[in-house]
Order: sequence, then C-alpha cells, then structure tokens
Amino acid sequence: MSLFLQSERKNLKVRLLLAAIYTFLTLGAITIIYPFLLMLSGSLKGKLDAFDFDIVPKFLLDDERLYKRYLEHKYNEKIQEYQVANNEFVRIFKSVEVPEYPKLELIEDWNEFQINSTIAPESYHVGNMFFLPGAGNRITTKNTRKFRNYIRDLCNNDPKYFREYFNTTMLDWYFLDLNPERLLDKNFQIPKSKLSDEFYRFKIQIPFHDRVYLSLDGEYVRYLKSLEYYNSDITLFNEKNNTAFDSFYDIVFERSIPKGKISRQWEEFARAELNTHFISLKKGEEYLFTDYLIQKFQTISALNERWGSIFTSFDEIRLIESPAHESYLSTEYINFVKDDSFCPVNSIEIKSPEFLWRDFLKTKYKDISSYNSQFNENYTSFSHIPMPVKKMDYAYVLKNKNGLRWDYAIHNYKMVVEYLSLFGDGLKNTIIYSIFAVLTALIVNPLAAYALSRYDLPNQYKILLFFVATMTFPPMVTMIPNYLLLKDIGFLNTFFALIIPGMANGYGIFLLKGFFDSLPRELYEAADIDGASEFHKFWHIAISLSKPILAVIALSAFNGAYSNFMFAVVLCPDEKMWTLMVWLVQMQYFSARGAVMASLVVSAIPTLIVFIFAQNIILRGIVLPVEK
Amino acid sequence: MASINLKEIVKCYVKDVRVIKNINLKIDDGEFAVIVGPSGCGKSTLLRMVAGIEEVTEGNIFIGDQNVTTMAPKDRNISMVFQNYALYPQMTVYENMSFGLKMRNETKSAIDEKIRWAAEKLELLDLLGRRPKELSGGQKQRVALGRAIVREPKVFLFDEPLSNLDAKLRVQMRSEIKKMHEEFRTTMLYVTHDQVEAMTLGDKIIVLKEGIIHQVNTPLNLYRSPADTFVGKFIGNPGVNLIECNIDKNFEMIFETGEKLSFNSQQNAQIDLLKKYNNNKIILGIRPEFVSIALSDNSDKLLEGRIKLIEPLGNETLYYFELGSTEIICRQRYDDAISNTIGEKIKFSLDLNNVSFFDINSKKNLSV
Repeated sequence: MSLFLQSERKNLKVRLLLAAIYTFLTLGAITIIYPFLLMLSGSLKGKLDAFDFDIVPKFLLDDERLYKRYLEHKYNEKIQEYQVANNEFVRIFKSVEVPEYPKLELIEDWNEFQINSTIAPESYHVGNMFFLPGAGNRITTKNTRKFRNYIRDLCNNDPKYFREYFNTTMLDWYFLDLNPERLLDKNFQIPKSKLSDEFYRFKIQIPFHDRVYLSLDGEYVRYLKSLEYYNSDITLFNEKNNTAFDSFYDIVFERSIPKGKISRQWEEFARAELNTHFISLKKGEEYLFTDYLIQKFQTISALNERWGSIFTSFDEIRLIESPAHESYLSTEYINFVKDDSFCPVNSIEIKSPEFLWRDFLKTKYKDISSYNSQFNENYTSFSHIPMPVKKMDYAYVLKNKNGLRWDYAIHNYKMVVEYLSLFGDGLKNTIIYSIFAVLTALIVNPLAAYALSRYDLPNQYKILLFFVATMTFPPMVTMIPNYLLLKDIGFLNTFFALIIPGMANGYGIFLLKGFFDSLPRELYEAADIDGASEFHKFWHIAISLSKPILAVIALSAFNGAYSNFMFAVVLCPDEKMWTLMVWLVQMQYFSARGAVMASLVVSAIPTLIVFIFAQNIILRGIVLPVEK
Repeated sequence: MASINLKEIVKCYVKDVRVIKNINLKIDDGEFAVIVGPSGCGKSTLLRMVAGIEEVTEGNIFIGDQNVTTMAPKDRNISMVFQNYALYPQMTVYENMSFGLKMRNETKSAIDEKIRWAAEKLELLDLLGRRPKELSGGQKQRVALGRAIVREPKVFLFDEPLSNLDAKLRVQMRSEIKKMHEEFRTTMLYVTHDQVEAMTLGDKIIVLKEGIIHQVNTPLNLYRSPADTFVGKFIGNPGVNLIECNIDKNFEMIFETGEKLSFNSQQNAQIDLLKKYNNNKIILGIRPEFVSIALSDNSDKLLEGRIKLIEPLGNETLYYFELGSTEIICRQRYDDAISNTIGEKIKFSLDLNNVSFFDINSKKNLSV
C-alpha cells in the first residue's frame, strides 16, 4: 500500500512531501550507519588518528599519514623518543614533517654501516614495542608479539615452565610486561634477571629498521634546552659559551671534551647526565679505573668479599666495554666516572652509534668534500653529520607501504583475536551457551505456546498473562533472586546457570501462541482425520509453518546468549566459565581505543552472520498456510 | 461401505443452548446425502460430529453397525474434504496425499500405488511434485479430493467443498464429484448452503434450519412438495411465491386486493385440503413457473398486478409483480416474452393444479 495515489504524485505538494520524507529517511539511515562505519574505521586506527572522525582512515590513502603512523609505532608512541632520536622538535607525531626521499647511495651506505659496524645493543631501543603503557592504552605491537613468541618458544609453549623459569606469578607470556628501556637515563642499568637477559638475546635479532638509535646529539640538545639558565634561548647559550649557533639543533655532542667555554657544559652533561655506558676511557688509560678500585678496596680479597667474586689480582678486572648491565662493576664504574679526581675529563671518550656512523663515513669517503659532493650537502666536518634515521624511515615506509597498510589495518584485530584465542575457553563457552540457549528456546517456547493454543486449559488467560507479565520486568530486577536461587541449587559456574533461566521466554511464547492461533483449524482437523498424533500435528503443522517466527525466536535467543554480559559474569564468576563477552569487556578496560573498536567489530560478526542466515527466513515473510 | 445413522443428536457449545436439536437421520449405504440450509443452521456442526472432530453432546452416531460416537476420527474410516481444502502448505501434493497413509503405516509401494491411481483419476499426475501454493483453486480442490480418496473410506464427508471456487469451476467440480459418486458408490454426506448444488448432487436432501431438520426427501419431491414455507422458499431459485389469502365458504380464494380465484371442478383434491379452512386465512404457495402473464384478457381467472422489476435472463425472464403488498415472481419462457414495461399494470394467471397450501400458523404444507 502506498502513501499516495499514483495520480497524486505529480502534484507539487505531494512531490515536496515525498522529497521531505526521503530526506528524512536518508538522514535516519545515515545516523544509523555512520556510527557503525566509525566503529569499523576506528578499529583500523591507532593512537595517532583515533580521534579523526573519518570513515576511511587516512593512512590507507595517504603515504604521508602512513609515514606518521609508522613513526608513532616505531617510536613506541613516545614523541620524546622521536625528538631525541631525530634531534628535532615536534609536539605530536601528526606534525612531523616528511623528509625528502634519500639518495640510493645513502640507503646503501646506511645498510652497509648497520651490517658491518658492531653496534652495541645498549645503543638503541627496540621500536614497535610498547612497554607498560597506562591502563586503557594497551595494544600489542609487532615486536611485543615477537618477544612473547620468542619466550613461548623458549618455554616450549609450557606456561608452567615459564612461571618456574622466570620465577613469576604471571599466568603466561601473554602478560609479559617489561619496564621500558631507558638507556639514556643517567641512573638506568639493565636489570639483572633472566627475563632481561632473554630480552637482550631477543633484541639483537630484531631487524635494523626496528632499531631506535639513541642520538646523543639529540639528548644533549634536549638537556641544554631544559636548563633553566638558557631558557631555550640560543642567543643566551651563545653568549654564555662564546659560540655562534643558529639553533640548538646545530649543536653536536663531541666525542671528547671540546675546546673553549663550551667544554664546561660538555663535562657537566657527560659526567652528570649521560648514562655511563656511553662513556669509555681513551685507549691506554683503562688503568685509571683499576687505580680507582685499588684505592677503594685496597686488597683484592676485600673486593672479592664485596663482589662475591674470585679475582686473584686487580689486573684481572678489565674494562672491555663500558658496563650497561647491573653489576658491582658497573656501580663502581658509575662512581668512578663521577669522580674527577680519579677520572680526568680528558681521558673520557664517548661511544655512540653516531660516532660509529661518522667513522664509517670517514673511512668510506675520506674527505668531507667528497661526501658533500656525493650527497649535495655542505657539512664542515664528518663530526657534524647526523644519522639519517628519519630519511631511512621514510624510505622504508615508501618501500613497504602496502605491507605496512595491511599490518596497521589488522593491527588491532590481531590483538583481539590473539586475546580471544589465548582465552579459548571464552569462545568455547559462548558457543556451547549459544547453542543450548537456541535449542532450549526452540523446544520450550513452542511446546508451551502449542499447549496454550491448542487446548482450552482452565485459566488459560491467566497463564498467558503470567507469561506476558515476565516481559514487563527489566531483567535486572530478577538478577539477585535468580542468583540466590541458582546458588542454592548449586548451579553457579555451570552452564545450567546460564541456560536454565533463559529457557522459557514470555515474549516468545506470546508470539508463538498468536501465530499458532492464526493457523487454520482445518489443518489440525485434516491431520486428525489422517490419524496424525499430537506430536505429528505439533511438528508437521505448527512448527513447520512457523519457521519465520521460530527464526525470530532463535535469533533473539542467540543474541541474548551471545551478548549476555551481566548475567554471565554474575552467575559464572569463575574465569573458566567466562563467555566471550565477559572477556571482551575485560579487554576493553585496558585496551587502546582502536583495539576496543576492533573487539566490538569482532563481537558483532557472529550476530551478523546469524542474522544473514536467519533473515532469509524472516524476510521471506510469513507465508499464510492456506490461500484461496 | 456403510450407512450413517444419527440418533437423537444434540449439540450444545454453551450449556443448555442447543445448536443441534435432537436430530434423527438415516443415510443409506451408498447414498449421496446433501445437508442444505442457511448459514448458521448447524449443518457443518452436524457433519463435523460425524467426522469426529466435534464432540457430540447427546445422542449416538452409527457408521454401519458401529457406534462411533466416542471414536477418534482416524478410526471411523471416513474422509473429509474441507471448504478451504486444508492442504498441508509445506508438503507437496504427493506428500499431502500420502500423509494419512503414512500415519497408518502402510508400505511405501502401497502408498505409491494408491496415489498414482488417485492422481490419474483426478488428473493430478503432473502436479504431484508441487506445493499447494503453486496450484489453482480447482487443482487444490482436486488434491483435497485425492487425499480423501486414497484413504478408501467407508464414508466421504464434504464441508462446502465448492464454495471457494468461481462459478464455472464450481459447476465443473460438481459434476466431477457426482461422477466420483457414480463410480465408487460410497456413502457421501455433503454440506452446502447452495440449493442448486444440493439439488444436482443429492440422492437425498436434508433441509436444516436452526438445528432442526425441516424435510428429508429426494430433490424433486422436495421441489414439488416442500414440507413448509421455509423449504419452499429455500429450494428453487427464486423460491415459491407465498401469497396470503382468505378462503370463503365457496372455497374461493380472496386476495388482499379483493380479487377472487376459484377452483374448477377437476380440482377437488385442493378443495378437500381447504375444507377445514373455511373462512380462514391460508398461505398459497406457487412456483414462479406456474405463474403466467395473460396474453389475452378473456379469462375471469386473472389477477392484476403492477410490474416492479423485469430481469431478463436470456432463456427466460423474471417478472416481479405487486399484488397488494405481496411480491409475486413470474418466470416466463423467452419466447413468451412480452413487451411490458415497469410500472404498467398487467394481468396474470396462477396454475392452480400446481399449488401448495400452507397453514398460516404452523407454515406446514397441508398436503404433506
């Protein structure tokens, strides 16, 4: 039936009205679909674009945005880490400027450098690996996952072994939380633990592009800018240090103490701010540390007693590498470096990946002018060349854009799937619960409705009223009585607690009774004459003609069971009985926004699939059993 | 095959309200009996009680020698065809026809044989795989008949089986049912509100009104001598003209308009009937075909009336006259058609050899 007669449609008023109606309907459709699309696109996003209300995430279309998203992942969502590593000041990843594409030779040089130089694992952080982000922000990143898998393989996939080996109360490797690496912090020492050791074993395996090289230039600049008496003002700095820098970012941290006024600043930073594992003694001056130890412990036995070691003489204690790992030696080394009476500033030499890079270039190009002409630069000396990390990142992104796009698109989903498969019981419980909920709903409700429809029971009206009355109470009202009852029966933490209270549904019975009533009486009578039993009548007539209604009831039973969170968690508080929903809600408490969205999408998929199958039956319409 | 015997059947849906009032009826073996009556007269209820899908409040039903009053429908060995066919919508024609047999645990091959046989008879062979909604009304009805036949029952029950068909199909199906009866000679009980169906089909017609049997007889007897004014009006289309008149001492009939008609000397039988009604009112019943328009004005046995309506039907024409306040319908053969117009006064005669007289109070036919 149409609202307007065909003949009316050419009327201007009617046309306007129709236009208004269509507009209204379209707007309505948009208000329903838009949030859903936002959820979908939100499930692809990261921290960078979480609050962009675009339906298609920008990183899928835009290389620049992809690069920024890459940076955010690589620098572990920490802009400070980016600032230091690139010696550049930006407030958020979104405002990072895209560099020019590096020359092919530079890429080759950089690769050659990384392959051939011995870069200590202490001189870079692991990128793409977030450590202990605050609640509500957690997301499993690429290297976190890799590290977990590394540990899993190490433990032969045995959580018990994991707990014993690492002496931890964590359930398994999924919950591994490492403290963030702070290799630039002056007081940071790599902790002495099995887990930390494994982490370093893992760390040396990561691909070059995941390394976040620590730039001492960057750290130095950050430090200088943080000093109160410069007030982030380069002119003040120039005045005080008798220099002529255009900006703080032109300042480089020299390998050994520079000449001039600036040397004071250098020493202060090196001794007091820099982590000692960057500091070594110049060649031939290692004895200074031995002297310090002799001075401090007098005898080797005193040292052995303190350190619990078995050295026979002080000469045996060799300082091959500046210690970064927590040890007695490193503690003494830290004290030694601080003390200018034992460790003269002239003996200090700084180690950092930047110097290795500069050395590499120097050996390769010999002369700065040949380097400048090769790369069209105008550096005054090799010691001013920064690491080309930013450009390399950009080159990497452009080279791997499709892979990265795919990675970021499934990034959040990976976490959700991983989480759910880790707690596989949740999925299993939900499947069992849903199947039984649907089955019982399809058995109990039609039987009750059939009895009410076919037999004139005494007080039938009151019985029906009783069923319908259950629809008027919100389910929360019955939650506590339900809980107490089930507790008394002893059903808590069993499937009975989930399934039995939902078996009969007043609405379903009401709906079915109405439908059974509408079936022609003659069908039953014909069946009577044919000699059909009551069950045959129930099955061949009532049930087989009510498929659309049954589909509705099955769908709502499935939906009820599948989306049940409150009852599921109250009636089955034991983790082993948790359903998917409980696990997902649990996950939402600690997860990043994108992962929350992804979990919502994942949780919507089964309902969608079931609906697609059931809608066929529902939309086929209620075929009236007898036509004239 | 079996006879049906109803003994003092009473049906009350609500306590003490009798829908069927003490009915006694015998239908012989192999007979085609039609129950006819206006809607709400209880004819379907009666049939459903025979089928066993309606409970009997009082009385007994016998099929053959067996008292089936409290038997389940399936044990009564009957088949029923419903007005709306009541085919199982989700089953194919084949499944519909085989359902009852399956319930009786007959073997697959026996079922198949019976269905093929019935389907061939009813020209359903091509439709066996279809579902009811893919069939036309006539086809559905045939399937319903087929479902009834395959059970090989002792008694067929029909509950207005043709009401949902269009007029043409109805005539066609009617003759098919008639042929079916000729072939099987099974006892059939057929309910309809359509007197034409009743007349054409039945060996015996039972006229029912308000739960009471008014007359049981063969179609022609029913037509010729209706037991009361109700039967007279109900059977035949149009029904009997009922004209109130006074009988004077000379056995002349004096009509409302004061006009008189008298019997001739050969009509003593009629005069005998009226003896008791000297100076009393009676109802004169005459079929429209025995009313004729006078072409010449030469007889004294003519009445005058005004033409109210003319319905030409082709082979015949119906004239509606007014005789005082009474409407009289006249059926004139086509070749006798006259060119009178509405509003004109016209003379007509009644064939007093073919009249019935009804008591003014009991409405009963004086001659029955």
